[in-house]
Amino acid sequence: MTMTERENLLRVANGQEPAWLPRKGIVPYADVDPEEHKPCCLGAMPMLFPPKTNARGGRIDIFGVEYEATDSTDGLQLPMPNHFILDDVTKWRDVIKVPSLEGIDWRAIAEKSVEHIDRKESCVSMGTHVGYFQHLMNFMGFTEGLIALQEEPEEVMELYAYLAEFYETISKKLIEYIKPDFYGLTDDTATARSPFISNEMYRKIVKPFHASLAKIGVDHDCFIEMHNCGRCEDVIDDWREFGVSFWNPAQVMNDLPGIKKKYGNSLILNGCWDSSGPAGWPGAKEELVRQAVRDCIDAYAPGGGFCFWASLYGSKDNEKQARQHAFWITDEYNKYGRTFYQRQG
Amino acid sequence: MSKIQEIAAAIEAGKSKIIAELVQAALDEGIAPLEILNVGMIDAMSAVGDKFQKEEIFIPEMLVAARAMKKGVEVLQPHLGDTGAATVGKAVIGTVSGDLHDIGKNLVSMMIESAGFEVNDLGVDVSLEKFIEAVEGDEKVNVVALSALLTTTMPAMKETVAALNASKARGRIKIMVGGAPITPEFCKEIGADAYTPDAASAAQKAKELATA
Repeated sequence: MTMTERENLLRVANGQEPAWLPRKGIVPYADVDPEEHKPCCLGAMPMLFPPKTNARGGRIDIFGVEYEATDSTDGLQLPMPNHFILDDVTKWRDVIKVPSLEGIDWRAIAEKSVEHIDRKESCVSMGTHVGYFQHLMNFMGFTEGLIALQEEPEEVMELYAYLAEFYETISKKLIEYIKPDFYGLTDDTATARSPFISNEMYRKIVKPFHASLAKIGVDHDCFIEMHNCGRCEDVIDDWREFGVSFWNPAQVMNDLPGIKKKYGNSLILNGCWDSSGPAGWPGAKEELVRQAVRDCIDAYAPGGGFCFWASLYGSKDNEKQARQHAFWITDEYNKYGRTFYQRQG
Repeated sequence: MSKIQEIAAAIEAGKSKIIAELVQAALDEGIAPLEILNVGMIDAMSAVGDKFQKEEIFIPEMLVAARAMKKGVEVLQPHLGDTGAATVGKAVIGTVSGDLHDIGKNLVSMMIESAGFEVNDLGVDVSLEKFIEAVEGDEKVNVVALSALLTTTMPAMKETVAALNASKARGRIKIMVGGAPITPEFCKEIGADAYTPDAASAAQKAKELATA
C-alpha cells in the first residue's frame, strides 16, 4: 500500500527518515496541482468572529487594530503605522476588550474549519494566535510596545494573562473537535540580527504564556510547532521545555547546522530557506533559484528532521515573474527533494 | 559621583523621569551645557550603542536610553544656543516606498539624533519624490538614511538612491542604507555611500560621514 503524504510527514515528526522530503508550507505564487501530490498538512480555519474591514479595505482585528497592506508585502497586512490603539500600557484595561464567547457553537465551527481537509491524506494543524509579544506590538507599535516591556513589565504580564484566558479558552474548546496533529504557536520575537528582547525578558514575561498555551496541545498529544522568524535561536531550549518539536521558518541567520547537530531529529526544521538571499530576490535567475533549492535540501535533509518550505516575495506589478520564480522552486523540490532519500539509498 | 556621571548613568539606564532634574542641577552648578551634552549624554548614548552591538542590552533598553536623552536635551536646548554649539548635521531618514516597517528606522533615527544630529524623520512608505524634496529643500541636510525590510522594497531603495545621486544636493549629502535584506554588496551596487547593520553603527557611520 502506498504511503500517504500524511504518513510520510508523521515519520518525520516521529524522528524517522521519511520516504521523501515533505514540503510543509505553501510557496507563494506556486500553482500546485492537487492531483500531483496531496498536501502533507493543512491548517484548520475556524471562523469565530465575522471579518471586519475599514474603508480602505484593510482588516480590523477583534481588538480594533487596523491593518494595511502594500503591493510590496504581497497583501501581508501590517498594523497601520501611527494608528495604534494603545499608547499607555497601564491603560490597557480601558482599551483592550476581548469579545464575548457566549453562544458559540464550537462543534459546528470546528467541523467547518476542517471541511477542506482529507484526514487520510493530510495532517491537520491548528493555530492559536499571532503571539503575545506580537499582540503588544500590534496594540502599541514596536517603539512604545518595547518600551512598555522595559518599563511596565507587570502591566504587560497582566495584559498577557487577560489575553491568555481568552485564547486558551478558545483553544481548549476547538482542540476537542478539531483533533489536530500539529498545534502551532506563533510569535515573532526577533529581528534579523538579534532578538528584540533579552532572553531574561523573554523568560520572565512571555515564556510563561507560551508554555501555558502549548500545554493544551501537549495534553492532546499534538506535535507542537513554533513559528518565529529572525535570529531567535537563543530561546530554543526554552521552547523545548514546553514541548516544541517543529520550528518554522528556521531562518538562516540562526546557526542552523549547529542546531541540527545539537537537536538531531527531535527538533524538526521547517524551512531553512534564505528568504532574504539572492534566490528570493525579484528577478532571480533560474539556475540560481534551482541551485538554492538543492543547496538547502543537501544541507538539511540528510537523516530526516527537515521539511522543505521556501518563500519568495512577488509583486502584483510582476505576477508573471513571481509565478515563474515559484515554479522553479516547486519544480526543483519535486525533482530533487522528493527523490532525495531514494538517492541516498 | 559627579553630576555629569549621574546624567550619563541615568541615560544609560533610561531614567526619563529623573533626567530633567539632573540636567537642571548640572546647569545650576555651572557646568557648561556643551560638556553636559557631549560627555553626559552623547558619550553615554555611544556606550549604550556599544552594549547593543555586543548584545549586552537589547532594543527596549536602547529605546528607553534614547528617550531619556531626548528629555535631557529638551532641558539643555535653550542653553546651547548661547554656546554657539552646532549639531553634527541634519539627517533625513525614512523607510522606502512600499515598506511599512518602522522599528529599524525609528531606532536609527533615535541613535542618530542622540549622536548630535538634527533629524527629519519622513516616516514609512516614503516616495522618492518626498526624499528629494526633503533633501533639496533644506541645505542643512548632509546625511540621508534609507531603510527597507523587505526584499520587494529593495528596488524602491535602488530607485531612491538613483534619484538622490542625480539630485542637485548630491554634493553635500552622504547616502546610508540599511535593513534586514540589505548587504554591503547591495549598497555598493546601487551607489549608496554606506551600509550599516544596526542602529548603533548607523549613528557612528553618520557622524563619521558628516565630519569627514
